Amino acid sequence: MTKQYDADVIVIGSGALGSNAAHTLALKGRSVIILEAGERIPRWKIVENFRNSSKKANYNSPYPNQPWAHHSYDEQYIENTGSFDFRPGMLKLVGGTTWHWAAACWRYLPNDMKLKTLYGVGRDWPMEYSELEPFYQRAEEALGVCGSDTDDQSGQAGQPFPPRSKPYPMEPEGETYLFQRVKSRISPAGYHFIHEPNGRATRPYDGRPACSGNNNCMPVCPIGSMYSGDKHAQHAEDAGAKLLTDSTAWKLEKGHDGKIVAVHVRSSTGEDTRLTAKYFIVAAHGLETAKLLLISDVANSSDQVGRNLMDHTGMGLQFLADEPVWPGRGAVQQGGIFNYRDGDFRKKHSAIKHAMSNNVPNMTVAQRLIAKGVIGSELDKQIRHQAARWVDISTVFEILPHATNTVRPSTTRKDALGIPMLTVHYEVDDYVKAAKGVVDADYKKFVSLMGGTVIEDNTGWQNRDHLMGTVIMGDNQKDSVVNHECRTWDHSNLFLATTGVIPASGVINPTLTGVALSIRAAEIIDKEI
Amino acid sequence: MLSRRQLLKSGAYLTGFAALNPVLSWAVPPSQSSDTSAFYQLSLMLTGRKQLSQVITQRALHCLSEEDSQFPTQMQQLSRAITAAGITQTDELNGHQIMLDAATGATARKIVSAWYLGFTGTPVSLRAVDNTRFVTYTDAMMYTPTLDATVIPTFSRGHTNYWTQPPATIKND
Repeated sequence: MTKQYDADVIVIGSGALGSNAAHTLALKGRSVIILEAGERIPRWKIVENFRNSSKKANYNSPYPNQPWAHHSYDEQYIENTGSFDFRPGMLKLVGGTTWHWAAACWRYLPNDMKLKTLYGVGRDWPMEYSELEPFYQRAEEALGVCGSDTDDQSGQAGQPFPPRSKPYPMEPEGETYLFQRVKSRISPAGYHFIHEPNGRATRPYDGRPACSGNNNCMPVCPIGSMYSGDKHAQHAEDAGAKLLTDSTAWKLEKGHDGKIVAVHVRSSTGEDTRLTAKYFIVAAHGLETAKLLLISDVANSSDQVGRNLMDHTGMGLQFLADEPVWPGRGAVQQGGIFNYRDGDFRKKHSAIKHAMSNNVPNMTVAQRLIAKGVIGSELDKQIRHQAARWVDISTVFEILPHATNTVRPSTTRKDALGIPMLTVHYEVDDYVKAAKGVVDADYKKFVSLMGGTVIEDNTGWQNRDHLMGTVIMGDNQKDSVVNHECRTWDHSNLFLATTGVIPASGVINPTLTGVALSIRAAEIIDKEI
Repeated sequence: MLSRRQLLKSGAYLTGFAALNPVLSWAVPPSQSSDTSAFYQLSLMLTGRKQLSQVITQRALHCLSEEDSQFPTQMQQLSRAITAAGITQTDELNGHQIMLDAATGATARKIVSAWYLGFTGTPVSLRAVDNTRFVTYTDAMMYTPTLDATVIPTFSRGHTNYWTQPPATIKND
């Protein structure tokens, strides 16, 4: 007797990773259902939400925060039990959190994937860079990435690196005046400035207009020049996938043969549905994916689900240069300094990336001046003077996976559907702390080279919203959750499309890698169905 | 500080405006119109402007009063202090005891913040809820000094790569 399924593949989560996997499968003619806990909201509405918000610096503010689909800044959503207030800016709506990223689309270096072998710390990836390269290319084409084909992204000032099979889909944007000036004054001291490849159109691309410098990539690009996951949610639907909003997956059901047979879904009105499929992809970001697996008691024979939580924990510095550099013209970020991306130092301390923010700084500048009591024509004069000279350095550190950094379903708090929320325990380790001195020294040099005056020294640890490690990938089923295909060791038809699989964090934003792995996983599923 | 003529003129204008605009149904009731007028005059003084939007005036006063029911009283104290000090120009307040005083200085900063930042209250980062209230966006005065060089975020007067060049004013900035 032929078994009937609701779909060939059910994808849980409509963010960039889930939607790209769904789109890949739908294009192959597979029947696909995408489940999204949140709503579908048009871009114009989010833009208006932003313009009418009293919390302009709060990137989650323009987005829905429903009792059944909380965004991560809701007080109840994440309870921290460690010393660090771990609170990444995750969203729940069609398209997911890439609605408010800044679209950095880096590839990992081959050495990032051999951290244990080369430097004796952390973990190795269970794959080589060359295996992922074709999928990096596909991900870059899907996300419409502009980038430099001449930069050595390892920060060693060598030949173009890492290797690529094709040029970037789009030319990079022109360097901002800010970038030009800071590069000109700091690079003679030996600092390597590199363009940041990003999912931002520099010419019309996939229905997106070229960037015109609205300077609001976070929390929302008003013209959709920057890639966001809703693009491929729509592409997946156009290719035949069925997208169900207001559909929270709360339990995966195991069959007798070790396979997943169904997902249980609940609507905001409490209506329950059981959906069956041949294959399942959980793409519910690094925290929710682990939570769903733990609640369902699946994929956890290694006891590693929800462990090894990593973010690119960061620091920051704001200072005034001795010349007008005019941040705020163009996109909100463009690149940075990569001297410590790779090298023998990784045996002793984490890798480091310094990036320059390019936001219109008026709010921060004005808040500070008003707090000091500056008023009248002096206030206007100082706003212009300081906004013109504002330099904002944002630094991230490479994080190692530790089983003690965890995300767990809450035992005390449930959402409106009766589903547990999250409890996180996160501590910053000595490997990171050992790199702080390097960063402090760099900051002093930057300020000195720019004739600067320090304004804010944000050298306490900060969130960077790059979730990794929680469903860690490895080549041993005893200490990892998925294999190199992103297939769970315990269930042959359950794949995970999340940056949570990443086992060694490096210092680069993980989304492009997540999309590449997700497209690859979808291809593997397609071949097996 | 206010003449009876000013008070009546302001109150009449605002009452009529609110009647035509349902959005302003929460606007200051007639019995409090002296607060509105006082706030308007105080805002002119603290921002150094000759004229301000009546809609934003009402919104700012409403937000500040919602945040702190004592705000109208604090505002009157600040008005009296400015009058007593004989201050007639905003710039005279820079470094003045009124700005340094804990009470009057805080009230002045609240009002200046509402006009310049476009919101009242204190933002709390990484949380969904704080006590901030929306006043205005594109009319927030913090953008005025740099409008020729940078955009109000989400708006653009440029095109791809305009940012490779500095503002035309760079030599004098």
